[in-house]
Amino acid sequence: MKVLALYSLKGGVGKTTAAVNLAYLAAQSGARTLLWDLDPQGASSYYLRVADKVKGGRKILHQTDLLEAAIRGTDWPLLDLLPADLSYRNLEIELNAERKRNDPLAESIRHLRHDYDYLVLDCPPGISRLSESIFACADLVLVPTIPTVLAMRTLKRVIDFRKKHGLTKSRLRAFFSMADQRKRMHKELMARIDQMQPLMFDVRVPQLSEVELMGEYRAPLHTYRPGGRAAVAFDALWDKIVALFYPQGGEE
Amino acid sequence: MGSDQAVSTDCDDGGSMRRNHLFFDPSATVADIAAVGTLLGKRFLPLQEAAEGVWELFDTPDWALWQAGMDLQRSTVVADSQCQLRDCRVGLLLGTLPTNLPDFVWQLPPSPLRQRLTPVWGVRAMLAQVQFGEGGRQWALRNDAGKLLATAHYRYFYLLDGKMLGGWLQIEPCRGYHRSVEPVLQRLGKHKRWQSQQGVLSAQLLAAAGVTPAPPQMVSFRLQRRMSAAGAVQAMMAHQITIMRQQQVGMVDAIDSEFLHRYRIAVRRIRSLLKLAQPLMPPELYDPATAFFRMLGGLTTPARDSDVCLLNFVTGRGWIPAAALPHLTLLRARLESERNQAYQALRQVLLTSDYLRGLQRLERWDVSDDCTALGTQHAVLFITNAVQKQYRRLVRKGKRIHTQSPDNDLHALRKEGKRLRYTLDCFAGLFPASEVQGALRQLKQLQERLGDFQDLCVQEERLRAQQASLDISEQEVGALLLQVADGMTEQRQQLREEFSSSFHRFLKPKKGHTLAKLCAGKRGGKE
Repeated sequence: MKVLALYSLKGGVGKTTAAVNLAYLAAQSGARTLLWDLDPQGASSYYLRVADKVKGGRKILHQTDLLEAAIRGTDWPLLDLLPADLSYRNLEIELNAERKRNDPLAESIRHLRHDYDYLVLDCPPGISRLSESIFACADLVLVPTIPTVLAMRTLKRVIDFRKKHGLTKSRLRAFFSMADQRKRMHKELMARIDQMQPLMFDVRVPQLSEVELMGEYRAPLHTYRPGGRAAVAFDALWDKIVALFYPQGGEE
Repeated sequence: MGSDQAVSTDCDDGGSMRRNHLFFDPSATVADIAAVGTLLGKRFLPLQEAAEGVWELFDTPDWALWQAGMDLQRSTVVADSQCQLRDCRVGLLLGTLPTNLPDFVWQLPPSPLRQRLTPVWGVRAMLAQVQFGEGGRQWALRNDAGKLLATAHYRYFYLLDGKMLGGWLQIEPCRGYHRSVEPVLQRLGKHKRWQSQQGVLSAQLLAAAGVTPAPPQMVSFRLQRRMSAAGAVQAMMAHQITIMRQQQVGMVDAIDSEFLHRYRIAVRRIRSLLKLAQPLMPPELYDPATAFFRMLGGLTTPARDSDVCLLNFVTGRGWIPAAALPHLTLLRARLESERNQAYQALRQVLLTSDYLRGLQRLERWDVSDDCTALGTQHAVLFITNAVQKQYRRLVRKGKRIHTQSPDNDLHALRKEGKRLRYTLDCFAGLFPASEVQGALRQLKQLQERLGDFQDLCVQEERLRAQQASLDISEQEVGALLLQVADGMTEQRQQLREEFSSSFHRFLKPKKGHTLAKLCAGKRGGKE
């Protein structure tokens, strides 16, 4: 099982949008996929029409039967969801109580590894003990980054944090999210993408109303605007992720 | 289920059950679709209108996927454009893949699904093992938020001659929403026409068609050290003939090059076994059998050579530079035409009664009637002696190879190695497993090197022949072909020059001297 975490220190950068669409694309590629909504806001759960409530709350991290029972099938084949729960706001307490060696999040992920090919984590914003756990157990941490100075600064802080805490096991990549070609700063920052290799995927998810419509349709972009610019950008992003996970010819 | 019956809105399931429910109506008719819709109740809304199509189950000739716990099915009613890979024991969907059968695995992009499928032996050679006519309709149960809770799929199946097999209603709850369908399940349980079924739909359809998803009946025998030499060789030849028969369907229908490849291996093994059996067999059986299998070997060679060249084109492997590939379309078209002709010639022979008689003659060899004194010797003694002789011949010929040796010497050495390998492969059961495996590994390394050399010879010869047959207008392509062929000559010479050292490594491997130890024959002598 490959674990992909959508993470950012900053809120409102398009983590949930990316998580839902990438999970959908993973399932569409024929792979068994689980999207875990770790954000107590429950936006991924909302997008997939599943109630953001989990029996047992954050106890699912310790009880595998509760964890399995909490999983919900979505409207799309091969795509399941572990919904959000308000009790996740106290996830830090749960993680802090344990030693790093007994990371309950890592244990839960290990328990799921035979049931799914991909696990997509929709992480809450912030930098905390949960972030450390995510960096420790994800194969790839993907940071959506708005092409602004502040967002780039945030990305740098994430990189520094990862390095400082020795969390370099997982790979870290970023991509431009909510990009607006009409804005000078966006254009200029995106033009410098060559200097940001290999950290930055050469993908720009545009800021478009069709992306915002996900909240109205409560479905992934591809289901209602399959050939749209945003959907095409997510296709390209997914291709890059797969290429990173499975380099050509490397898996045979 | 009527509208008065409550449908839970969310998270209604405490357990992690992931079970589909299957009901069977043996007396189903096409008109039952409407009745099923009424039975399900108003909450189930049509997800897909009534449709007719074809249902197919794909697997390798020896049911490798099924044996690995998976089934690959395609239904033009459910989704025309994709196959569904399911767990054949519980029916759970494991993956979906595009319908570019039969060679879908090699067209799948790198993915977990591809990883899961690739190790399944022979998975690329797929056949539609079962085919039915199908009709049906699908309904969906949703909650107030519009979330899909379950699907109900009514499907009736009929044989392609029109005979109805019955109707199946599959209730598939989304994970975590099992309780939503309980009222419907209760209603169906009480209904006199519907029978609750254990197991999965694909297994039931196979049973209805009278198909057993298991490898075809193999010759059942167990090699024993003290069995007669003639008995062991005869049983092994019958076993190889069964393998040949299994591959014939795929060759006649030109499904995949893998069928021909396995067929040729079986033919070669029989030829090798015949050579072993010469002192054991009466000449009136030995001579025609040798001629027959030599003919089969020769007949399959052009088809296999074309397959190898085309496979190298497809994958970009081998010695054709990647940059040259796009320019070689002309050659590719010619190779394809040659391959089609070779397969056509092969098909004509496979369908003749002479061919069947040739196989049966060898299968019916009665060792008790025809056996010579040597044939009654214990199998282990006879095979050990044969292995020793083959090994000594291989070493003698290998030591004679030098940097100027002609191609034929290397080819002869390869054939010698193959004979030894086939004998060890076939009669591995007579020796300790660890020793045989080590010996085969050692031999395989040498054979691969010689195989590369032979592939280069064949491909180079073909390219030069193609170049010679080109028109003046195709000079550009001709020059390219010559360039590729010259590159192959260089590669060939390099392999030849390196051969002495690789043969030395073969004779004295770092990890013990397994093959020489096995061929020392002390074990056989003690018997």
